Order: sequence, then structure tokens, then C-alpha cells
Amino acid sequence: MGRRGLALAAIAAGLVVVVLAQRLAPLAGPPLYDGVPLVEPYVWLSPPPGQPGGAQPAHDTETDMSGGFGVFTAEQPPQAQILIDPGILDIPDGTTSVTVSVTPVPPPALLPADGAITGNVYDIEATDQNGAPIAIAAGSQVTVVIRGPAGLSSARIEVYAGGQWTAVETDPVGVPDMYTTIVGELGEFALVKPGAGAPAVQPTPSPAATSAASAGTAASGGPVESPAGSRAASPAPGPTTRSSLPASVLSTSSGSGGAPALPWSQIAAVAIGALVVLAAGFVLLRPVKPPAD
Amino acid sequence: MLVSVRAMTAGSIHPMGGAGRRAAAASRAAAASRALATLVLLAAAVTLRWQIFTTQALGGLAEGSLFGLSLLAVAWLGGIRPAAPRAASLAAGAAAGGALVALSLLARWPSQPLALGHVAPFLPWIAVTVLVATAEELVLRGSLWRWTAEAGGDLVALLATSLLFALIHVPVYGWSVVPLDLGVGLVFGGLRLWFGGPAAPAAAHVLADLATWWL
Repeated sequence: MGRRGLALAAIAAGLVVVVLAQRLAPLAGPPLYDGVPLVEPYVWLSPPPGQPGGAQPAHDTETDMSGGFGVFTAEQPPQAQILIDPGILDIPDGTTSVTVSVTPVPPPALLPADGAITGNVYDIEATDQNGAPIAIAAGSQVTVVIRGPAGLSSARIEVYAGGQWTAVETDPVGVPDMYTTIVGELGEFALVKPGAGAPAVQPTPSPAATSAASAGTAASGGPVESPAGSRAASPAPGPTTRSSLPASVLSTSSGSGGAPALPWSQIAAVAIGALVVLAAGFVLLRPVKPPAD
Repeated sequence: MLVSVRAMTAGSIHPMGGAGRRAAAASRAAAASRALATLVLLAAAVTLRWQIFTTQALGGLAEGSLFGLSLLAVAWLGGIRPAAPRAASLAAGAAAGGALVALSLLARWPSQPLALGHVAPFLPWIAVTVLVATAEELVLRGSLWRWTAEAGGDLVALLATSLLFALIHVPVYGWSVVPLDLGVGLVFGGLRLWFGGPAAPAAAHVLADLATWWL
């Protein structure tokens, strides 16, 4: 095969792969290939000292149920968003309108056992004109995107539904601290920094809570309850008052709630390493005649 | 010369003598070492960007500028020098970029794109985006392509640069974009092959990246 034949074959194969990749593996990612991500500071529901507050809900109400939904919070980029393709919701007969909402809420009493919630918890739900919940159709999925506070080196999305937290497959979006997942249920979504060993919510516990904590639920890897002023940890019927803990105590593993310290030593090491490699490259790669173009 | 050609046709004599074979092998080895060195430099630039990205030591514009300038340095060290591109290369690249954007939209329809947001003036964002996209092409479809092709041929260069194109985006975008970027890398590689230089894929890449402002 000649050079031009190979070129045509490569272009044709590439176009086929592009189409297949976006049809068969529609994980939400950058629209195309790259860009320069730009991010506003994170907005908290209950801000830590020195951090901006005012996280706002967002919703979209449609009377034409044949379309899809795309609901984004107002920050740039949005701190929470949900994308629902047409026909994904299991809409009962008699429904005249559907509202999809994304609402920042205080964390539930039961916290993830496998890490620390980082940032706001967002309650994402679909309801009909009477406020009754609408579920996702069996076998269907929606895309959820959550952005966390600055400095997340890694995190995963977990969803709180049915009285428990479930970690879901998570991918970075390409914007700092922004992650996406495709899920088959709605609920309360949060970014969880894994491996923290214990949740970041560690207020001064009440005596009762102290005794509960001493039972070792965290150490055993079981569910961890927020100890004070929280809503019922179990899914049993009862008051649904949310934790009185300010969201400001939900932060990165440092638990300080402020911006994490930059690892300047790592950055310096990488920069020095890059300079060494560049210097070595300068020696190895002599200037040569440029190619065509 | 005539005798040599006839002899080669008959297969009785290797196209090159022993000295010629040794020279060719040495040339390929030198090209391979240059390709490897360029690859190491590229990895260093990507690692530097990744560190800045994860720590947010710099803002998006500064991060992109540093990454783009690092890549330009890698391309320079790899032998790329400024040269006026041919109009045909730019036109074909722009057409290919537009086709990729349209194809991307059609393939995702009716799904809605993510809202990634922009918090920067438009013109600086354009400048940095053009810088990064062009610099990536000057490294991948410029210097790295040249040395890889000299060492292993066009097919090896096509596959290697397409794979690398996908891999350098993994630290920021995750593994999920590998199939898409692999396909795009093949398209860009085809443009590189057809037009003989990095201008056409650079034009396509720039256009596709600029489209993210509106998509």
C-alpha cells in the first residue's frame, strides 16, 4: 500500500472509530479531544471560613415528555449536572409535567464508610406535577457530573439511595475536580475521597454518639453515622431531619475545609526533572532540517 | 548501475552492499534513539501538566500556556523549525476538523453535551488553545512522526503517534476518552501522511479544540 493509500485508510478507519467510540461508549467526556479547562472557585452550601457560599439548586420542568433533560447548577463549570436522554424516565400515565431538580443538601446522617465526602451533597430527583418521584426506566441510565472543591487528586462519585451509599464507576471529565458517572438510579450524589479510612465529618460527639462510635463501625469498615444532630441513620421510618453539621466540615482529607496546601516539593521535583530531561534532550537531539510544511 | 538494478531484480544481490546495510541500520538506530528521546521529553511535559492540573498550582490559562510552551520546546529539540505551511494543508486540515466536529455531534445525538463552562476571556482562551493544539501536533505528527517513520516506517509512525495521542490525554480526561482520541489520532495521522507535514493535522486539531467553546 502506498503512502496515500495508507493515509486514506487511516482517515477512514479513524472516522469509523470516532463514530463507534461515541455511539458504543458514550461516557461523558470532553466534547472532542482537548481544551483548556477553566474553573471558578468552588461554592459551598455552608462555606468554611474564607470560602464562598451560596450553592444554588437548579431545575427544569417540561410538559413535553418526549424530550430529554439537561439540568446544570449555575456555577462555571456547574458543580452538579444531570443529562437525561429522551425516553429514559419511566413516566406513569397521567403525568402532565416532569421536573428534574438538582439541589445541594446537607449530608445524610449515614456517611460513606470508605472515604470522606468532599464538597456538597446534591440531591438529584425527577418528580411529576404532584411531586411524586419518577424513576429511571429499567435498563436505562443517566449521566451525572459532580465537581468538588479544588485540590482533589482523585475522587469517586457515590450515590446515597435506599439508606446506603454506593460507589459507582467514575471517570474524570477533564476539568479539575470534576467527575462523571453513568447510573441507573437517582438519589443523593457526592464526591468521596477514597482511602481516607474515616469520614471527614468529625464533630465533637455527644456522649451517646461517643458510645456509638466506640462500637467500632468505622474501624470495621461498616457504615459510619454522623453522630450529632443527624437524621435517622437507618432507612427506617422516622424524622428525616438532616444532619445539623455544616457542610463546611466536609472537605478534603485534611478536614480543615480550606484550600489544600500545594505540594510544592513535588512540583519542584517534577520541574527539576523536566529541566534535566530537557537538557539531556538538548544534547541528544541536534537541530536538523525541518520536514515539509 | 544498470547491472546493479538487473542483479537486484534477479534477487542475486541485496539492494545495498554490506556497508550500505550497516549505514541504513545505523541511520534507523539513530532515528529510533531520537524518537525515544522525544518520547521521554513528551512524557516529561505531560507529567508536568498533570502535576499542575491535579494540584491546581496554576490557573487553566497558565497551565495550558506552560504545557504548550513545553511541547514547543520538545518539538524544537526534536528538529522542528518554523516554516510557512501550505494553504492546501491548512484548508484540508480545517475541513477535516469541521468534519470531526460535525461527526461528533451527530454521533452523540440526541444526547446533550456536558456543560464544561468557561471562566476566561475569549481571546486569551483561543490563544492558549491554539498554542496547545499546535504544539501537540508539532511534537506528535512533527518530530516524533519523523523519527519514528525513519526508524520503522510510516505504518509504525501512524500507529505509535495515534496511540500516544490518546495516552497523553488520559491523565486529564481518564481512560474513557482513549477510543475517541485513538480514532482522531488515526485521522490526524492520515492527514500527516497525505500532506507530508504537521500543518494539516494541526489545523484540524485547532479547529476541533476551538469548537469546545460552543459545544
